[in-house]
Amino acid sequence: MSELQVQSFDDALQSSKARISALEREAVERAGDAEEVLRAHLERYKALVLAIAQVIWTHDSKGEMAGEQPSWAAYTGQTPAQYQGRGWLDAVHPEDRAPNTEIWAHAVASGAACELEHRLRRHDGTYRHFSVRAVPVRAEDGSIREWAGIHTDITERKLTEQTLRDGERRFRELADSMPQIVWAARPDGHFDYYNERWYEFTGRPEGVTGDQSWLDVVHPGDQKSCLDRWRAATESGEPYEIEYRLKARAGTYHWFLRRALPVRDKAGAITRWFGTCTNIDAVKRTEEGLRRANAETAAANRELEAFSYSVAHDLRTPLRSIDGFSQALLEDNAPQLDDRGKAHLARVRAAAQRMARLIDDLLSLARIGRAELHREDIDLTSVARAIGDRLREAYPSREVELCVQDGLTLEGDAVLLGVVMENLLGNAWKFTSRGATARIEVGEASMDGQAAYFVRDDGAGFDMAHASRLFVAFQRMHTAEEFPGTGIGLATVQRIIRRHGGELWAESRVGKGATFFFTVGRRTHA
Amino acid sequence: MTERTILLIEDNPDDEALTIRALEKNKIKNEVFVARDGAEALDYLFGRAAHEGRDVRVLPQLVLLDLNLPKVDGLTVLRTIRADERTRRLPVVILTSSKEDRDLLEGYDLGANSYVRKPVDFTAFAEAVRQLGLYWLVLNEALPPVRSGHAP
Repeated sequence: MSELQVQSFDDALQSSKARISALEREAVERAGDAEEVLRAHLERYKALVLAIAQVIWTHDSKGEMAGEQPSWAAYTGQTPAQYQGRGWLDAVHPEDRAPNTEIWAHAVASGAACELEHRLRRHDGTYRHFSVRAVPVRAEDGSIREWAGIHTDITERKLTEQTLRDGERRFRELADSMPQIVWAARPDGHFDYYNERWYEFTGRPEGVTGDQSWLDVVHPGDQKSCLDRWRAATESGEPYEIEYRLKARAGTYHWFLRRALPVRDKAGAITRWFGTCTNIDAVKRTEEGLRRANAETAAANRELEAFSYSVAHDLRTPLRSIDGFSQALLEDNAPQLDDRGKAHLARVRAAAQRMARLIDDLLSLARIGRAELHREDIDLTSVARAIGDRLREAYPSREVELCVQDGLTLEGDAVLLGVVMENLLGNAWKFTSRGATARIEVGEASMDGQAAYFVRDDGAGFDMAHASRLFVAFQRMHTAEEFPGTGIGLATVQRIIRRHGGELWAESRVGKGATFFFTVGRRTHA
Repeated sequence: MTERTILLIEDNPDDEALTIRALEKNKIKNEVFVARDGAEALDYLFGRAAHEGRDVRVLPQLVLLDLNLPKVDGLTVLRTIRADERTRRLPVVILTSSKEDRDLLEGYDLGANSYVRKPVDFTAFAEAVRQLGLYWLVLNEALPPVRSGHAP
């Protein structure tokens, strides 16, 4: 190396030293600035960590807590000494520790970000639910330098979920405890729930819902109406009821009453459809039986009416011939007939007329059974007195004292009870005809707390031994010579009183008169 | 003045004889035409079938109508009479055995002028016929006889 070369090396060295000094000075100055900036960042980070609602923390590459963790310390109340290393696990709910430790160890080993949930003890000792998310922070060479994590409080969400779950459970318990089938559907008509009853009854696989789940267990005759009503309801949003037949698991069809009700949100939009299916098979069958019985009764009544009609019409016609031609014989052939012959013809005529009366009475008896009952307040006193007046007019020679109690009122069918009073008073009138004078009394008596009305006479009376035959049609207590009659009057009275829900009975002794009592069921006592 | 006809619509020959006897007994001299079923009565009134050519403008003065008739029943006869312009004013008295409410109601609904139930007692029946004759043939102002179209 030459002298010159050494000289220039020295120079260079010197200038380099000077530049290094300058650089050193500059570096020192810059380092001071950087430290300043770093401190500022750190302060801001600490402030953010404390201000944020979540808990923020870092772990070292081994998954252990190290250094200062202000957010963690503030939330859990753990001191740095307590949370160092694996000490942080003490703040996790004991039940959640083991599963969490496992997940965390796996994350640390694999270096993959992880999410988990656990309950974390707050500084006041209460546990709250957190969702935890941890991500690795990597150095330039890709190695994990540390872990950064964030705890988010999800206690409210958890509670809401729990409430929903409880509600759902309660609904299912309630729905399953009901004797009815309960179902639910989406607003679009898609069935998404049935209670246990549905599966029990239909035998469908447990848990199967959806559009295909119901139509084929509906009776083929009801499928169209069922589907139409359901479609119409989901379109209109109107609740509805329908009766239809569902197939039981045994293959038999049962009648059900299906009710569907939409549930709406505050805005009025349908959020859900709920419904029930109630087994009304027994009711339906009873109804069916009743309908059949009614139809049979109606048919029987029609037949009876036709019979009555022909009785009225056809049986009377020959009687008219018998009577008419007997009379013609009496008129046209009087010279050829002796008194005996005339008397015979008179008997023929009397018999024909008597039979005509019998037919008329029978028909009115039959009519009473069919007539509708119109209940109204009746002034029985006036009714009885009016009948008495008519009887007096019809039999002006009779001397009858008629005493009708004032203010007798009752509730019943005015026409039919008029028939009752006519018969009872007519009988009293008839059966007192043997005496020179007669007394007939109409009044009210209390029988077992119920008002009973009576018609009492002092006439022939009857033997109580035969009382059971009293109200049977054609049964008579006296011969036609003694007292005329068809034997249908009291049967008619009995039928009318029965139709009112009342009772009819009599008390009598031969030669000591008779008293007929009746009640009319429902009583409106003034 | 010629007495006008009584149209008696009655299927029962006994009733027919008794009715005619009752009319005679009461000195009712009108000619009686007897139709033995509803169809014959209508043929008579409208000049059809066996009665073709009858001057249908000559109406009976009174129709005595039984209800229970062969072929066409009495209420149908009445309905037909009331539905036809030529016969709708004809006095029709229902004379029947029936006193069923429905027959009464329907009879009046269809425009019967009276409804009389034939009593079994001939004395009472003759009295009913007497009163009917007195009322419908004497007291009641009869319809004016239909004149030929060109008469003044």
